[in-house]
Amino acid sequence: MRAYLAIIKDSFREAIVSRVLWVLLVLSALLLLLLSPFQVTETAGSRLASTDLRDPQGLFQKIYNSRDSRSPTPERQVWNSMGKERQKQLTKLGESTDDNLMTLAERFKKLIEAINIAIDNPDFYNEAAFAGIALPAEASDLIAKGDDLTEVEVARRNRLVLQSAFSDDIAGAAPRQITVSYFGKDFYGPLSGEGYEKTEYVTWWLTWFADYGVGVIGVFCAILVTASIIPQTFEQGAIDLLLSKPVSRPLVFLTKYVGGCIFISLVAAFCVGGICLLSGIRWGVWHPQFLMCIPVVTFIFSIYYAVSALAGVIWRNAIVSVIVTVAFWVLCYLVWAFHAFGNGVMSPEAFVRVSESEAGLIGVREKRGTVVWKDDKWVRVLNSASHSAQSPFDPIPAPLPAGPVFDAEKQRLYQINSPSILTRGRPLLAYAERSPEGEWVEQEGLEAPGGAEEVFLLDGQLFAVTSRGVSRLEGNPNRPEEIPILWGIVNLPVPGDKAGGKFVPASEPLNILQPFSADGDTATGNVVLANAKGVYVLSVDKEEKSFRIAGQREIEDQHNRITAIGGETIVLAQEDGLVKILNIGDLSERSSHQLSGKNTPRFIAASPSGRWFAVVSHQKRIWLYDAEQDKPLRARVGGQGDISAAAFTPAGELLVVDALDRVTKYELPGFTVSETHAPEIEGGRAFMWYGVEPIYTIFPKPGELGDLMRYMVFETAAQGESEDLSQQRVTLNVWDPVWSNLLFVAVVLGLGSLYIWRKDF
Amino acid sequence: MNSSDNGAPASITAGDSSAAIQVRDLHKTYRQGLIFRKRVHALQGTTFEVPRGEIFGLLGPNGAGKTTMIKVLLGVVRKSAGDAYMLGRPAGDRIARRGVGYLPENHRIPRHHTGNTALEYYGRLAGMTYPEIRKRSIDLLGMVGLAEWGNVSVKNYSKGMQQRLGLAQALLHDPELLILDEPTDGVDPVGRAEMREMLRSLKDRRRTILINSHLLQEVELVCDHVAILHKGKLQQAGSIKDLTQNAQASLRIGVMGDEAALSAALSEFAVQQVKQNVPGQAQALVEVRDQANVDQIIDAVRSAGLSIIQLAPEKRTLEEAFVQIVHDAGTAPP
Repeated sequence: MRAYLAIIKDSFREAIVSRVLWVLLVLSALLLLLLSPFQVTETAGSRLASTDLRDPQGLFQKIYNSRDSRSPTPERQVWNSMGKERQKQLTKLGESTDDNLMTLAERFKKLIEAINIAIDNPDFYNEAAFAGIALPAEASDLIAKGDDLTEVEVARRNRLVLQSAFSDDIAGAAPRQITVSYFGKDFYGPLSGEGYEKTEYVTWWLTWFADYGVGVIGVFCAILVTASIIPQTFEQGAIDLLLSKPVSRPLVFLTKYVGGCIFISLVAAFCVGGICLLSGIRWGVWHPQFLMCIPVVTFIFSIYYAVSALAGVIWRNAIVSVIVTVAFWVLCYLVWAFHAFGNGVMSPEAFVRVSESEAGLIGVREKRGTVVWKDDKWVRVLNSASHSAQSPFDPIPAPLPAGPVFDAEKQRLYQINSPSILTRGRPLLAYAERSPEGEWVEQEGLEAPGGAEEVFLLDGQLFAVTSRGVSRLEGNPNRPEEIPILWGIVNLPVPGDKAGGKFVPASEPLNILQPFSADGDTATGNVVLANAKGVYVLSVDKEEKSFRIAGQREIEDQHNRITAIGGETIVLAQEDGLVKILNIGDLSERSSHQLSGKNTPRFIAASPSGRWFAVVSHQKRIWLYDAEQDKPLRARVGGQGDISAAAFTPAGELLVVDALDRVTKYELPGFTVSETHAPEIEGGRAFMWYGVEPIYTIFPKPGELGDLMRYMVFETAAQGESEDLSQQRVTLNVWDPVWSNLLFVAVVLGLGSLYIWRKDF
Repeated sequence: MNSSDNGAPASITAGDSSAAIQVRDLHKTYRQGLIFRKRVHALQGTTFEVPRGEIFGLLGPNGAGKTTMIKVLLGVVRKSAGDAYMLGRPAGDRIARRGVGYLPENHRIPRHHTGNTALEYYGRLAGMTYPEIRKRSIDLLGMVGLAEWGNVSVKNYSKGMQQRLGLAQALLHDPELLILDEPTDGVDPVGRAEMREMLRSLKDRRRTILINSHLLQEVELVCDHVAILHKGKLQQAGSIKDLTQNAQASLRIGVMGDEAALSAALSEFAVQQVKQNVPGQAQALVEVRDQANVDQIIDAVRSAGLSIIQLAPEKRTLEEAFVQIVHDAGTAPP
């Protein structure tokens, strides 16, 4: 042991004497010095930001036009409070007839600066000027305090008054806002809203810095400075002296490696610890979990250093060692980039819904529309703008469509598409008609009830379930055609087939908290709705074609949940992985089961008979329940971990989707495969699956350890999770890269040890 | 000491603790080149033994396999075949290495060390405690003439000083066996004399020393036994005396008379050289086989009426013996 401790000590001595340690520490200290002038201030929301302006041009004109006004108006008050210099600037900009982009940008910039000066002005508020404007209670309270206000309170009062007076032009300020300054000059912000609390904001940036600054640039520097350690140790003249001592060759190699890692961990501790202290002292944000970045950064370094060490013992040359390590680095990022890009392109193709009807197999892709199985391939039949036109990289996906359902009588396939927050727009009934030749033609559907979660057919009638109740389609599903008359001033609807129908209420009004999940049982006409508050059952009056609440049960645990109904059974699958089995009659709990592992349910399906239920989790695993036996059924299906959707056929067979859009039909309870439908794998998908994916699987993933860093700092793997369980969730890939990287390091060091053990020096 | 060319003497047994080093039919073959790998036979069935408490010289021309032999003993290089033992344990064994001090040829003590820290580092590698290292370091640095240089960086050391420091690290843990590869390389004459003195004192303390050196005069001065390697094979082994006084000895004879008379008197013998040094005095160098041959030469000279004024056996130097042996090995059929 003494010998190996001596080797570690020698690594440090070498680093100190060769000034490598000092260089790294000085660089770290310089970095801290560069960061230290940053200041993050959190104040009551008062600063006006460009994003707060709804109509900057209109606001500019209002304020600019008030310069000669003598009556006390809010615009005049802003003008008077901004100071002479700003008035001159705005006058000059207002007089300019240039309407080019630069002039406009300059105009808005100066306007914001001028308004912020006015906001800071204690004399801004004038009762006469703001008379008749409805002020919020907070503003009234501050006004009631008179002159006994701090500077922050003055700014807050003025901002509240301002945004009340210009409510069409200026958005409301958040209660708190943060501003980033550098050397006292505003650098960024003010920022307000979710994620802009000071602690969270500073920690997020620091973790970003630790990931990309220390974890990439820092590690790169570390590789450069440590590359010579192992080659020098194994140089001729040094190695035979070392190996003549009673030491083990592999342990000498491993000890040298560990010495390098410890050395870098100390430098990382200095750098990250310094940032942590800076954050606490300078920015008032103490977040000790940030120190967890130290082991993660060291781990990232250790992966590259393992490669550097192996190259070092084989070639015994520091330059070759650096070149090999940098090449490995580039390769890692290329593999990661290919995989990420491929996943970004392919994952929207995964089925999230599957069903079988007289139209054959129907699948709904995550973001790419609805398809049917035809001529041994999936053919798109619904291509509505609100759902499928999204870019696969949209940060905010649209809600999944409700449906689809196939009306065999009319040969129509229906679904309701809801718009995403970004695309805005209206919810639409999308449908496609099948010709006698079997060709599908998409039609423009009419406007649908917003927030529909379920559509189903009952006696040939189409029903949609929303949080406000059940609606029924009356008339044609197409968008109404109109004939413009009187030069387009009046439009008249076209009668007959081209006249549009409409959705009409088909239940008593409901007010279900969103998000919610709904399922309709076409056999019985029962509909179940479930949300974080509880579960509700609607039963149908088939004569009147209307629904009424037949039962409801409040559940206090507040977990988001999804539901399915079949026969006499209701299944609730909760966010915490608990699956509750309820009797439909009194909604009493028959049994409950916990999904294995940390599976979070995403979809749930019931067989028409009500005997089988399937829960598909976000972790892409399937869980089955046999209501007849009242116990879970071991799902003997292939593709666990890659299953994106499941459903039951009208005959009660299980459909399972894996590998994006491969549908396998199983007969229950024996799980005999009766059919498989999979398109031919070619093009980009073949490249991904047979090229990139295998390499990615066996390749280390040092670049993905940033997720581990964020997980350790923020103590959660979730990233902006939607409360809607059916929405795709992005979770940090925390542990997979850790095991993969550990395995890689072990293999590389093992190879290095073997090489040294066998080598004649 | 037992030795043979290729056969394994019966006296050598595995791990015989009476010998410091035992080598039996040792082979080492290197492979060179990346694609067409050429075999290089560095050792070809070498057998010899170094008794404890002796100073043993391992001699041979460049590429003879001397350094390979040492590296095999230390485990730095793996043997291809045969047996090698060091201090009664298999060559390369970690326990055996505890009792060995090694000074490699062209060694490189890392440049970030001072004399003191280098000794601390190598002492710790040898398993010594810090107090032991401190105590021995002071004495050793003084012994090798670096007492004033302990705190100076190694990169400021001359070649000879680095060699001295290398010797100090080899001696630091007071090893039972000292292996020195070209120990006097770069050392000045005074230093060499001091080193010789130190080696003799180590021998007095029953330490075994294996020296690999090109400087045959140095070897001749300190070694008890030597082994001569050539092309990976042991050519000859024995004491210095055995190697320098063999059957090919010569006799130098000086007479009162001229060169022609002496030549005529020795016409029956293997005369190597006859010369007239001063007027009236001649000298000849004659090969002799044995004492009877010497008597015959004297009788022949006296019979010719020449007065003998000088008669001395001409002894070979080790270098002459070495050159002769290597030359013979080079001309001998393989």
